[in-house]
Amino acid sequence: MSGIARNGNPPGLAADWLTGSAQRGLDSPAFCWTIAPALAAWSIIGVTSGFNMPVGLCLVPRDGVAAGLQTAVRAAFYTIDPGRWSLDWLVMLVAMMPPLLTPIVSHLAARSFVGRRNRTIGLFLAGYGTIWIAMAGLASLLLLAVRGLSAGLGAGALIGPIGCAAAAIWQLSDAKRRALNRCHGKVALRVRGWAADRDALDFGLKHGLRCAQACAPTMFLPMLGSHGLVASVVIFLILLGERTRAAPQQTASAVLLTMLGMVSLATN
Amino acid sequence: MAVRMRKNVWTLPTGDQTLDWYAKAIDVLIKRPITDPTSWRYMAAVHDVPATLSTPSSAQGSWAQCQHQSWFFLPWHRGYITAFEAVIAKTVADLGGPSEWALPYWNYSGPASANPNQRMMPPAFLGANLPNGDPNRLWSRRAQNLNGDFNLDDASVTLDALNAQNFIGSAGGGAPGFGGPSTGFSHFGGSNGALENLPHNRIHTRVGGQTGFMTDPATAALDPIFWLHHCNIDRLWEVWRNQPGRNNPKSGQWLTAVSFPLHNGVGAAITINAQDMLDTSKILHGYCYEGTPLAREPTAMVDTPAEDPAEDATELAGAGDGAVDLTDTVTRVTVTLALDRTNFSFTEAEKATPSHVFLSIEGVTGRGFPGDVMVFLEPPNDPETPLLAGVLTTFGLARASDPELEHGGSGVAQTFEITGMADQLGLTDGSATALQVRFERETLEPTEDGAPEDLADMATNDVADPSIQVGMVNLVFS
Repeated sequence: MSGIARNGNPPGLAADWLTGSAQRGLDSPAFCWTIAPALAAWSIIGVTSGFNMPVGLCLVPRDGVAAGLQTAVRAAFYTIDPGRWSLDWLVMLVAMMPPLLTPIVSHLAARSFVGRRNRTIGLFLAGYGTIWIAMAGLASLLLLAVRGLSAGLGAGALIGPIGCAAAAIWQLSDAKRRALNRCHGKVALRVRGWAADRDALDFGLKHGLRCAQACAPTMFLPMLGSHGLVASVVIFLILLGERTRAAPQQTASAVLLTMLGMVSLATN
Repeated sequence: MAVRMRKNVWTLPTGDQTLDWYAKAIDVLIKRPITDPTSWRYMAAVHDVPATLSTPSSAQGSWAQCQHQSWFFLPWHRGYITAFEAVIAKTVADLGGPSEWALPYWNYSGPASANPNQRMMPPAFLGANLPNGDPNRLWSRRAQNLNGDFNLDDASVTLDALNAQNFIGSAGGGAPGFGGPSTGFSHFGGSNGALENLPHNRIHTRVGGQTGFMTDPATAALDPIFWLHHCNIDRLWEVWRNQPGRNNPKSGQWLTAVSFPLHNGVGAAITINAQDMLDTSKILHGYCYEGTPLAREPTAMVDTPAEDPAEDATELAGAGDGAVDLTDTVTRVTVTLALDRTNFSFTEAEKATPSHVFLSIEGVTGRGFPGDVMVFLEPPNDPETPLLAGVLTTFGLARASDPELEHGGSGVAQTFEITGMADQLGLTDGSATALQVRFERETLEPTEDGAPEDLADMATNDVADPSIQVGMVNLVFS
């Protein structure tokens, strides 16, 4: 079977000087659909020095709960650039989530015909992305409310460490372990016609929900306080480690999140 | 200290007392409290736990850790049975027996010329009571049988798994590998490795029948024959390794990334990983198999085949229309081939012929203990003479279908290599447009009445409504 272009992916990313296995890796759907866009997104984050949370979240005064919330909402309303806000969320999601999907994308690639492989993976990612875009919107509202409340109570400096501690506790919980187990679930997909499209989209939605259950607390709770490049990288490494290591290191990730909380406390 | 010799149970010399001491040790262990790591029940629970049994806090992380559908299947069970052997051996020594006691193995696959009884369970394991009326500690709750005949046909005890070149199974529906696919901790769910499917799984359900201990992973290790069965599976790993070009994985993800907690002969906690399991002479007390040389890891200079099945990339060449319930005794599935090969990667080869052809059955889920399924392929010109593709075994199916476990209820998968039949089926020359796959469900034998003394509470008679569903049937080329 020599001389076969594996996986039916369009050539172009690989170069002649690469070894055969490296070329196959770069040509693989997993790389093209997950690693490559994530690398691009991380480059953007690196250049812009981290995720840019809406300014309003950072401008809340310490003069009571109601006033804090009111000021936070008003500041957010006046200062958030919806285009920039959406772009920031998109960049962060693309940086963090697709690498977690590498095994699933490889699974889809191996179980779809060459001619419709990219369509299948694209539909899966569309379903998956829909869930996470909704999660991002929901998380923004929650972050806004919690930061407003904490500032109103005069506890703005504590909310970051508290968020990290909550995330650390979540990492150690049975609920997290069960949610992570469900993330490993795969389904048998039909491979022809509209049924195949529907199955791919449904699986994307289903996997997105499972993934959100397992990852959203880990991802969003620490952001109550810190949302810089370092925090983003730490959270990403935790999420990646949960999927790629043979045995998820729940304790190690909890320790990392605790340390992140301590850094947040020290720098506020 | 010399390593212990594990011997063939059917060729133990006349007057040998290995099984007598085994029974005496069981009698001691079965009376110990379940919280004692050296008790019969505790050691069985390390394999898996019935839903009716809650795990005490002292056993959290220790119970329900058997590795299945995973490349850890062989190393985990090796550590498990060796730790068990250490407990039995110490008990035997404490009772005044020989200090070098070792588990025997049940070689149901051995040549009939050597021993025509090999497929029968040894007589010492049969009969609930001894001639003096005492309970026979080697007897257990099993399928009804005549003098130890559990109908182990050729398909049940085949050693085709030894032909597998690679240890690691394909993730893309290709070769299942000898030892199973690369996974993390894997209690149940995913693709069976070749040896795990046959003869391992098949022996479990044939011996256990409808509700016997061996049929259910949660009770399997309560049956004394479980340990002789797994001793044989462990021996077959050594046989495979002794063949030229067969190698264990080199990945750190297999060797050291996952550790498993067990207890040694005195009940002290130990931790094992796959790397610890490579040299049997150095595991706890050390052991080897009669008639099988100690397998050694090859030196770096040895030319070995690629261990990564990804190097042997797969291509979907045909598929069924979706999920199908195997409610009837016979169910047919039509696998339609991808005839438009203009987008098919094979057309880029000078000769568009695959090296290997596989039938991949995925997303198999179910409830209860539905029994195994024979998988046949019907040649287009002679459908009445189907070809046996393999046996879809169902040991652990219900556990693999549990959404709370490691693989989220994805079920099991099994791949059969059908390269040798591909031409007859018209799969490789473009003459066939479809492949007819025939599933024939077997029924499990009824189980004998009763259960061993002290274990009656673990027995169940619930056979209600077992079911099995196949998620997808794919034809895969590589």
